[in-house]
Amino acid sequence: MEFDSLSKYLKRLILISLLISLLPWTGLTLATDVAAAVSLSQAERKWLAEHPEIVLVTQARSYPFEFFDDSGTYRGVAADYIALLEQRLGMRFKVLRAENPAQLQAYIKSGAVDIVAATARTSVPAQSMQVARPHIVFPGVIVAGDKYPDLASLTGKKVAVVKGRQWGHFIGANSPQLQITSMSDVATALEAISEGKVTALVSDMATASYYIHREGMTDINIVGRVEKDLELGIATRKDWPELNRIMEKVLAGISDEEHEAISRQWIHLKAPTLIMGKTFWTLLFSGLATVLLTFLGFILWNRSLRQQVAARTRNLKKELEWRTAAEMEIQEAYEQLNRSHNELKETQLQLIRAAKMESIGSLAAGVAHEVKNPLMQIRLGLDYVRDELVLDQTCQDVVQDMETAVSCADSVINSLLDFSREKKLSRELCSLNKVIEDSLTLVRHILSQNGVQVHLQLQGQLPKILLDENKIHQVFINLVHNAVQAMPRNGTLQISTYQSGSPGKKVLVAEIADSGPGIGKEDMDKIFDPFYTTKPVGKGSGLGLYVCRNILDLHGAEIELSNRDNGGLCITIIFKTD
Amino acid sequence: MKKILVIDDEPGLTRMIKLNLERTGKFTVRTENCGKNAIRVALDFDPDIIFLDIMMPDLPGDAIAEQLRAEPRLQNIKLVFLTAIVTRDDTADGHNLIGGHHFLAKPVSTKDLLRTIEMLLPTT
Repeated sequence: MEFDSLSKYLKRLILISLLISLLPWTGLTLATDVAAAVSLSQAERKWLAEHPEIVLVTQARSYPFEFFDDSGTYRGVAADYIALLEQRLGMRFKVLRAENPAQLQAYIKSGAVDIVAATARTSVPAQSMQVARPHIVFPGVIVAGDKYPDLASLTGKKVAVVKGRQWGHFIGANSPQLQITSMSDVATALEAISEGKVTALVSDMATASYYIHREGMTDINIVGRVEKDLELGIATRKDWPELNRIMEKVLAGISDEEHEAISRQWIHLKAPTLIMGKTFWTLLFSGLATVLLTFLGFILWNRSLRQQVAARTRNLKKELEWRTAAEMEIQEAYEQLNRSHNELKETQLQLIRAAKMESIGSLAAGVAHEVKNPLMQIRLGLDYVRDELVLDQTCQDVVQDMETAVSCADSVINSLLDFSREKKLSRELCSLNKVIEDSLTLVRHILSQNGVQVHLQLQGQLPKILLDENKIHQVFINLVHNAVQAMPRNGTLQISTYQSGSPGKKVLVAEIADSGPGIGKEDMDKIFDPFYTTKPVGKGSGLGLYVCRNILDLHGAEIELSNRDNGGLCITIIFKTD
Repeated sequence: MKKILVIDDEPGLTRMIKLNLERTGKFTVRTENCGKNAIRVALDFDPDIIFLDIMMPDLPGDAIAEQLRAEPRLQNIKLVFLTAIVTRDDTADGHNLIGGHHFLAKPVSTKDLLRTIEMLLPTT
């Protein structure tokens, strides 16, 4: 037996040495330096050598801390620590299996036990057993189907605890408001929760996690925390203090990684998945119901909106129709107002013109009387002088000039008289072209004197129109006079006629275009006013165009003036044919 | 010698007519510048033709014409109105007639006067 142990020990040492020598090439580090960790004193080694058989008592069903599986293997959290201890110490304990806590206590009392694998400090008799520093520590937790974060949240609820565990005493002492129900084991407690017999179970995290996982609970989980931990340590015979020290040393040499590795193997602290819990389904159905209600609400809202939109659209259509009708009425009223305005304007113009005519009539009569008598006196005087005196050529020219001046003054007065009186036309069907040609015949001496070239473009086959021939002669003579005076010597006069307009509204147009300077924009509006002239003083009476327009007004014809693009003035006269 | 009476309120004018007509040696001309004296002078002078201004301050020519026509001794005397309120165009119809009356539009020349006298009192 001793040889076997020594041989195993030597084999382990060789293996460990080999692994250590390989570390630099593997890049790994040992979690625990076994040889160094178990730095037992000579006396301790000697003590171990003198006690080759150490009896370890275990519990057969203290899941997940220690139990025996179907194949009879000792397993669990405590079992893993025992295996580690055996590995570190290079020895094996003799295992004594207790089927229940009572048998465990009986073994201890009998003195046949050297070590208890995992026990609470209060679970072994202090006079015979000494408990090392706890190496298995797990927090107390609340296991339930709903959320209870702490014991206070379970006030008034039935809370299960497992018989023989510390949790019943703890809750009784700290949370007397809870209704404590003792259960035989954790599995029974979980089933009671599932059936709604109790609200929650208070246990340690390792036990709760192990059973939830093992039982496949989907609606129960660890939901809260209890302010107390489960602490288990190794208990050794009190009369073997060396063994207690050795255990303490070995346990102290266990690294954090090794503790975590053992813990991970037995505790399945998977976070409760939402999909597996009642909360999930509650939330799911609540969510679906919310979505459905929202959708229905949206549909109803949408339908309501559609109805509102349709109603609003109908109203808008009505309003639009009303507005369109109102707009048409306004437009019609505006047009009527515009027509009235134009009529009023025309009437006003006629009144102004009539007033002008009246004032011109009064003026003309007075002027005619006051001026024509002296003119006649001068004319008769000149007649007398010419016949009574022998005049040289110069005197004859002077007399002739004076007679011309008298004629000019007479002409001005006659113009005044002519248009201060209401005129009645003597109209006959005439050829416009012929009237123009006759008018040009009457002024041909003026044209030739000034070297004016006349270009006639008279459209043939123009319909005859009703004209007072003499008056229209006067119009064209006046216009030609004006053009000749406006143009420099050797100017060009272009006279054309043509028919225009649409069927039923045919008009005859006569255009007289000169090569003079045209007229300024500022003169356009005043050019037809009586006594308004752009000619030098003494050259024009300012009545020519006024007379022309009055004659044309009597004919229902229009006269327009415009400056030509290439210079000169163009006068357009438009005669209606009907 | 034909006797011609000129009635016009402008003395300068009547004087010039008188000078020009009498210069021909064919006419005896008497002038009157006051309208109110027209009938009396006409009765006294017994002219063959009267040139009568229309617009006169004391008595208009048309009123004088009515009086002349009302006077049996004077009603056959040729009467020609001299007026400033008609134009030459108004009277240019060959007979210087407006509404059956003879008119001459001022300013009248000596030729116009002689032509009118010859027309109304042909010498044959």
